[in-house]
Amino acid sequence: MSDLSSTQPLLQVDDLRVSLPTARGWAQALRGVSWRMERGQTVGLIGESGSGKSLTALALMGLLPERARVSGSITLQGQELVGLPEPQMCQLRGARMAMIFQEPMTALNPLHPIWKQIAEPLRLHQHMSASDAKARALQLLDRVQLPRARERLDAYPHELSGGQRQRVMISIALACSPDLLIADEPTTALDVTVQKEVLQLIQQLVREDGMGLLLISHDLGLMQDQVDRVMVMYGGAVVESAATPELFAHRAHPYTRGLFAARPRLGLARGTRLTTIPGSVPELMDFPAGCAFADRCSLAVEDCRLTPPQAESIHSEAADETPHSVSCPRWRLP
Amino acid sequence: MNEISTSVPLLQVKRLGRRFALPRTGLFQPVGALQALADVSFTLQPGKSLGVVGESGSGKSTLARLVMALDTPTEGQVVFKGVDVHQTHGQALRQLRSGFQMVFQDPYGSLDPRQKVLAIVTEPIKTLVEPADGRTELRDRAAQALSEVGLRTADLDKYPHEFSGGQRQRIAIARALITRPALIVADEPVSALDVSVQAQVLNLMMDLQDRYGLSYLFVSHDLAVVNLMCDDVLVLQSGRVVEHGPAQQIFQHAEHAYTRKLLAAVPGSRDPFLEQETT
Repeated sequence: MSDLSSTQPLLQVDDLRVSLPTARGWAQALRGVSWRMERGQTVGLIGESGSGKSLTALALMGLLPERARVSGSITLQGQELVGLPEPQMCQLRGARMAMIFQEPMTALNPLHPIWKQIAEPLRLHQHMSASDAKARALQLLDRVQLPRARERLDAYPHELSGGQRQRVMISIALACSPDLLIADEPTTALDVTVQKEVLQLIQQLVREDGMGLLLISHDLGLMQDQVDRVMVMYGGAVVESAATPELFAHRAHPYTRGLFAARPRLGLARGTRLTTIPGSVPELMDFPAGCAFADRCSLAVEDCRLTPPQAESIHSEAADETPHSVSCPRWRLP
Repeated sequence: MNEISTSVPLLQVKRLGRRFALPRTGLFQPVGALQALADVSFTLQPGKSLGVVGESGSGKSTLARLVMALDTPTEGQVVFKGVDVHQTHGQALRQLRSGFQMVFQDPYGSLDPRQKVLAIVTEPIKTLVEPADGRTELRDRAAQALSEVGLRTADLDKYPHEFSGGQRQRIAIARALITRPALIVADEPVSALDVSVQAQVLNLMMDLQDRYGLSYLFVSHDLAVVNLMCDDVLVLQSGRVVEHGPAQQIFQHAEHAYTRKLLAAVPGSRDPFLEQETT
């Protein structure tokens, strides 16, 4: 068993598809997402709202809405998660994979002191006694560098600042030393200065424990500093994926290029108009049969709307294991 | 009279301060106080924009609320076109407010979900008593305001939930524009929007400024956005101004350690690739 797990990837996702019921019928929210990652790898998922990035995280954690239809495969160290009964899923969640949510104010329970919330996974998964769990909670809070951790064990979430709450969230996620950590926009609600500290902390903890990190964000600049590999999502599919420096140097997909151009950057002259992507993300039901980006794309031809694009490999200069792939037949056009 | 009015700055904030009383911690303890804003002064000329940056809790939003006369200062004055807004009350304040309007951060929370766009957009001018304005005139002005922000006349009869985040922020901007203000106070107007939508709204705000000579008081935590939108920058820390000056100068040669810390914290800012692209 143990020598098997060393050859298996930490996480393998194959052709993951999710349909959600809407007022107008079933809508395909994820349209065939695939990737694999190893322990110690950090992968970033970029996309705007409605691109399916949070849904991907929820699918991994088995937290999709009850009526959602899932197909494809998600294997965590060889164990299939799609279709896994809820009691077994409960044993994995929090123990072998954990998630940090975007809004630390709503993700924490306002009625429990923080040590109880950190202790909850320990008591559930590792059957610790309350006093052991409290001692462990203190260690965890020290590890996430929460100042005056001992006094704060009995504090309630409202007594902490946003950055401190997010540190508590991280310590809950780390409590059972998971193999896979999913961070869904972990710093969006925080100030830029605090944002950096929290990201550095996550980064350091991931390195120390050698877990896999899936970082979800809409912020391109943030990705650049934090992950080994980036996947760009649009319309429920990964449109481009590459090693981070490679992606930042050679953006191939028209959507990735548009995202980069639309971002205000320090150093632009006052009053410079930003290059925009025309239109907005269509409703789930209104995606064309072919490329989801076709209606907003300047390179699109009629065929783009009809035929789903195939992932194509780009020869990258850095000849390492992470290939640069793009789902656009017309990416070579300027 | 005309000559005098051109020399009067659009907005003058003089030694503005706001202190909040904190709840009593014990029966015999004195009441605590929090100085949310202290000794803030600046002048804004017509057509210019001022960016206010700082971390949460630095007093950015308190400043915006005081300038909008939504809150009363404990010290100092806000003078708009030569009139102290906090000494003006009732109908006179309502008339004065048509000159300065506000755009809020959350386009989901700032539009009444039970009102149609027509009612939302015309609300600022309904309070100004103009008996000559009939229903059709109101509708015409609302349609015009919508077309200025790139929405259609047909959108007047829809409800806010029918619009995306970027479109809602356009409606909020149309509501601010309808009184033909000289100053728009924008409190984090694009931070709830996606990157591609954010670019559309920022471009729109810059176009409107060029077209109508508007001034913006632009509150934001995003330094790259402030750099793009503003002539001057005011850096707040714990309610005090730590740096104030032309944007170019502050972003290239920040003097205060706090400003440098804010600049260094911008994700991706230290990468040479992004800088080389700007040239």
